Amino acid sequence: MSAPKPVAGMPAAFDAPRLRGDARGFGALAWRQLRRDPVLLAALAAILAVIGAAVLAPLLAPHDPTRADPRIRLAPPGTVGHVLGTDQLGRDVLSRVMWGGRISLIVGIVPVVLSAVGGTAVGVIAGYYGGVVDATITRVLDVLFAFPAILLALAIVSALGPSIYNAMMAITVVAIPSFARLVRSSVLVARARLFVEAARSLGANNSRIIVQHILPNTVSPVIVYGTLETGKTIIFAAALSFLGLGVQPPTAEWGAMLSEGRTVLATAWAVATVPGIMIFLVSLSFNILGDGLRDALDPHRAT
Amino acid sequence: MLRFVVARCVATIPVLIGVSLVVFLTMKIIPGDAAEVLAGPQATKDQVELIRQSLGLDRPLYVQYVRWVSRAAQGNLGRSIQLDAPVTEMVLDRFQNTLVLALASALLAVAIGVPAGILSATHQSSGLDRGSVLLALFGNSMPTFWLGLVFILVFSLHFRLFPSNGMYSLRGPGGLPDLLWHLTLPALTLCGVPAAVLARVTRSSLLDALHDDYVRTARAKGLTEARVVVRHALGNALLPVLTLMGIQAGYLLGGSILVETVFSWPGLGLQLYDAIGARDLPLVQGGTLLVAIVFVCINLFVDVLYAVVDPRIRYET
Repeated sequence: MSAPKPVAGMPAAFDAPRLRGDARGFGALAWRQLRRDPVLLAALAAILAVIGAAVLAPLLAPHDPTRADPRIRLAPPGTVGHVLGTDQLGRDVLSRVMWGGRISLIVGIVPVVLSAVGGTAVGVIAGYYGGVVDATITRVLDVLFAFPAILLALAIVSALGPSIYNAMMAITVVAIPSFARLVRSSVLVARARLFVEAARSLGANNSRIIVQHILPNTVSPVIVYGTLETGKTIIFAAALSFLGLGVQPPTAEWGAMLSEGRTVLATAWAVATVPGIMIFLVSLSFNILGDGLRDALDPHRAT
Repeated sequence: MLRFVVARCVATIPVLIGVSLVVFLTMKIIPGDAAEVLAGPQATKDQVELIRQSLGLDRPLYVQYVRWVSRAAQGNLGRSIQLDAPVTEMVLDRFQNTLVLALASALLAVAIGVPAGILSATHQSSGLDRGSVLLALFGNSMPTFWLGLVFILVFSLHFRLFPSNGMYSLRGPGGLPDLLWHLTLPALTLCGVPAAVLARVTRSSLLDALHDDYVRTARAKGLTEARVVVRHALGNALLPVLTLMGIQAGYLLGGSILVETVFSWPGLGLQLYDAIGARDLPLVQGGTLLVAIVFVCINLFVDVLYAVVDPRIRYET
């Protein structure tokens, strides 16, 4: 990702203030890109709208998401009172999608935040201290990278027992290595710069150097990668629930809804299709947003 | 070259040991242990204890690990709780089917992704480029299991073109045509994400290469654009694509769990899914270990292949 490159012809120490301001500059750069690009704005709007609908589900949802009504089973979309139809138990699909969004978004976003924090900590320690510490951490990361992500998550959840918290924990564990590797490489770049040496010669201790000089350099790559990772994790979390390892019925969640809708695919296509579209839209929006942020921060890569 | 290969192989050993440790420990964090599962809910404490002793579960953890790993190294992964059959045979048997699916998807991904990336890069900013970039973005954001369901809905239930489950027809011709017919939808579903990633990387890598000096030289010599792209730029541009294939192999192996579940494809993924449902831990453990080892080997192979095509790698180590 975008490790800050030294500016040609300028002594490395001179751009230290620019790098220090990286975290603040991030917001300004992101906003400039956002204003210029309507697709990016639409993606952000879509994410905010879905989050809004999920948060306000108790107020906005027309029906109780878990209340079954056998008289109106498998109503097609467009039925009066049930805009998106009902599922095989007669539960309102629109209400379930709204309530399900709360869980799907939490399971998709919280593990990314946790693994970003955890991965940053691991990456900073490995990159900053180097030597045996770095070698050990890198080895452990290599081992975790040797598993296909979903397989490792499956093994962890199946061992702990299927539940939404265990699913989130598994996703977090699986996502930490990529963040750690990303942060480690930015730290290696930052550590070699003159301003770190200058800080040390002024008597700054390790923790001060890490917090003041190293961490700010890892912020923007982590935010960009985290945004893209969220797009993936939304799908990943839904996949675990789809396999029955996440949310347990009758709780509404997009992946679980898809799995339930599978059984009535031939007679009521909408039951499985609607939550699928939601997963796709949210994931797509996060991917567009992540790509946009990356282009904003690293114009050389934009094509 | 030989030195490089040997060095890479040796470097893989600690990773394999780590992988076996992770698989072993994952199965140890379970509340309760295999003896309780095996004994069933009605068993008395003494019965459980007896089974525990017979399985060696009363020994210290490191003894259990060494025993398990040395047996695994000899191809003995224990017995499935559910079917009381040797795990090794069970997983290897099913793994062949997963391999068929994964290879077919890999071929499709390359056949779709690489040409799409090339066309995109050579027609930069055209409608073709935008369409291909958009398609790659969509492919990347598509939940595999949902794509599978949509394929079933459209091509299987509506148009009745392809079967929605299994590997062979129950009654019918069998053989390769039947297999390919059953393979079409699962392979198309599974290749979505890798095709999207390949298209993206091929595009950006070829765009980079097209701006290099040697390409300008080739153009200055008066070569046709097609020749410049194919003979000069493409070779170098495809190097990063090669590395990516290793990573995507992991995706194909992992994603097969979802696709096999959707299409009832009788592969290792479906077996693992069933085993998790039945809490058949030796089977989960064995299957996970097999997939991880295969993944490590594929990456080793890709590394070596990379060194073959790019001599710079060999001299760095």
